[in-house]
Amino acid sequence: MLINPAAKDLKAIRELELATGETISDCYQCGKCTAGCPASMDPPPSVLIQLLKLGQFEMARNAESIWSCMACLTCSERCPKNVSPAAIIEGLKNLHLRNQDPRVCLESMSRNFLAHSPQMAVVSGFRKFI
Amino acid sequence: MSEKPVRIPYYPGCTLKTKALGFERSAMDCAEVIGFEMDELKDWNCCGASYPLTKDNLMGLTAPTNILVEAEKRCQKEEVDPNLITLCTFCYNTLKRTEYAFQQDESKLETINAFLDRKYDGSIRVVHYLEYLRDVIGFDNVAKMVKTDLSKYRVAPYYGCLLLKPKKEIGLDDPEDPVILHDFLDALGCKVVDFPGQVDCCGSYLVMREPEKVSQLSYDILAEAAEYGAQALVTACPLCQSNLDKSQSDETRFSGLDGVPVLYFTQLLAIAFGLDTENHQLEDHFIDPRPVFAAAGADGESD
Amino acid sequence: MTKSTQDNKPIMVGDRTIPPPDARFITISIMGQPYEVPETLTILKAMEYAGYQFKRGCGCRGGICGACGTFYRIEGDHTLRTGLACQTVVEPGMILAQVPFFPSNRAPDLDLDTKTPADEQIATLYPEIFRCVGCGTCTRTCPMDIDVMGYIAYFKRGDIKGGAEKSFDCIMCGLCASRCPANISQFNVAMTARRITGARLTPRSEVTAARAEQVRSGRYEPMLAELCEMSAEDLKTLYVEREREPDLAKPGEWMPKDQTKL
Repeated sequence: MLINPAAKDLKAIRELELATGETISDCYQCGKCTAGCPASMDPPPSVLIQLLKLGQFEMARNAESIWSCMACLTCSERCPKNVSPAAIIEGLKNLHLRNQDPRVCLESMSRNFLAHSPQMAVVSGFRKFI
Repeated sequence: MSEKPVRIPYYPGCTLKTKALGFERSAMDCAEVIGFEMDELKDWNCCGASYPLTKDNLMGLTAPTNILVEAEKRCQKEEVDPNLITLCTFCYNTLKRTEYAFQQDESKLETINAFLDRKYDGSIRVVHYLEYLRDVIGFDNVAKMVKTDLSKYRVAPYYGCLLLKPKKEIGLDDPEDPVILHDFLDALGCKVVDFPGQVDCCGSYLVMREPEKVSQLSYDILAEAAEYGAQALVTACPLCQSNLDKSQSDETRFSGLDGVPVLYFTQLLAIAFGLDTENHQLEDHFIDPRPVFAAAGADGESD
Repeated sequence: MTKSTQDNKPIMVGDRTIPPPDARFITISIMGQPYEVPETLTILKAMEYAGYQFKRGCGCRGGICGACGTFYRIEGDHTLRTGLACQTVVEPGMILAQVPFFPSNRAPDLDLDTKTPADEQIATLYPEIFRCVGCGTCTRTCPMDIDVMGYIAYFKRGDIKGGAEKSFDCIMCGLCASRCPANISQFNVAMTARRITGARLTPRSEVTAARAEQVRSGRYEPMLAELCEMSAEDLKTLYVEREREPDLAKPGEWMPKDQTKL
């Protein structure tokens, strides 16, 4: 891990804060978000935020665990410092999605899933993964 | 109630028109008994299902705004209170959060209005069916309309996430220690099974990418509910219902667990009211709830 | 920018437009180049007046075929407008380009004999409809004033017949698809839905089936042969003197005097 984060990473983190409306430095690493997370994320939400606090933008952005977040908002609800890890994670996901890097492919998606799932699952899945 | 039923503009959402038709039908039949009418909006589109969590994504607000505009037009034309009733928790959450966003920041409303070339005044209040029963009708009054004795049934309320969170914006109940479904079941006369997993996430839309994880989360919730003695779960969310119910088709994972039926709260309300449930699609659930509630007349034969 | 006379303008001949002698001339911009054209013309005729020849992007010239979809702006106005080139009259300061074709997604091999419910069939053929964000750009784009977003909403909620009816006026110009942020090819989804509706969701007409059976049985062959033998003059007379149903007759009440051909 770099001890001195690159200027471009600090800039990217600042932009992430603007996009999400969150203040990452408010986090004091109590770990309540991670304790309550039902998605067994690895790295978990508090670690992702600590990475961002340390300026390790790329490590946070490329963490596979961000795609396991199901936006249940338990973390955001429990944060004593009013930080919304769910929003920050969605901000990280958006950086991929807006860069034409989707996580599901319509053409290879299970037809059974499309035919038999509640529409709300398909619609919100598409919002979060494409 | 003999006076003319109150008509409330109603937004169903896509899922309630297909996969969760029994939710809508049972809710409408029960509303008739209680004395109000859910009046479906004429033109409506999908709400978008998930509210955008980042501040820079206003696009996610266009779909719910279109719905709120339709509701506002309806209410102004018919000179009724500007309420919009919903059943699906995803729709409720999205519409309610949009309502809150416009209350907090009028410039957002202006931006969306300008973009959509429509005029929304921000007057609509989004109400959940449960909220309406609690705050307008009163659960005590609902209790008086119960015809079927459900006292021998042990039913667990399952809230999920989006009915309650975020508390600041939804404000229906405490997300960590909610009581609204408890009180509802109480009014129906069931034995309410209070179990810790009632607010745990079922996995939601992750079913698209990681169905295995959803299956495990569903198992954890259902196994815990069963351990606490629940014979059935009630929920207000078609996706929770689908995830919890369909996951039970995984025989290996669920081998140690007898099937736990997961019903919409309105389906149980209809049983409690002694209504004809033939149209309520109880048989469409993977775990058929009818055997459990057969003695309460849920086998399709009215008594 | 306009001229009150057309003294030094050549008059177009052949299938080109001959503008009225007192037509005013206005300046429009076609694909970035300014042209002076008579103000009375449609976009299509103005483009031909300016020298364009159409091999694509021009079909029926009657507002029905959907081949001449056009995007335009008016100078000084940010709004992007749409129209059919054969129906929209040019305006001063119009900046336009035709979009005769737009790449779109069309599901192959539509199975009309399947037992799959229609809503599930649409959902699997065109899952991208679930990406609709409800922005309404398609509806604002449609030159036929169809509520495009509205019919996509019908498909999302599984009402295939409702969406098919709502999209009935679609002429497949494809302008909706060109503007969709969710990459939906709305017009193709609607066409598929209309085909499914026609083949599977609409009750069969027993009367039509009975009549088709009568035709197939050869019952009308002698009458047709008789007509084929007739001279053109006799045919005209027969046509002019034919028995006609009065315009305001109540349905089912009028019967012709000669019922031998029914």
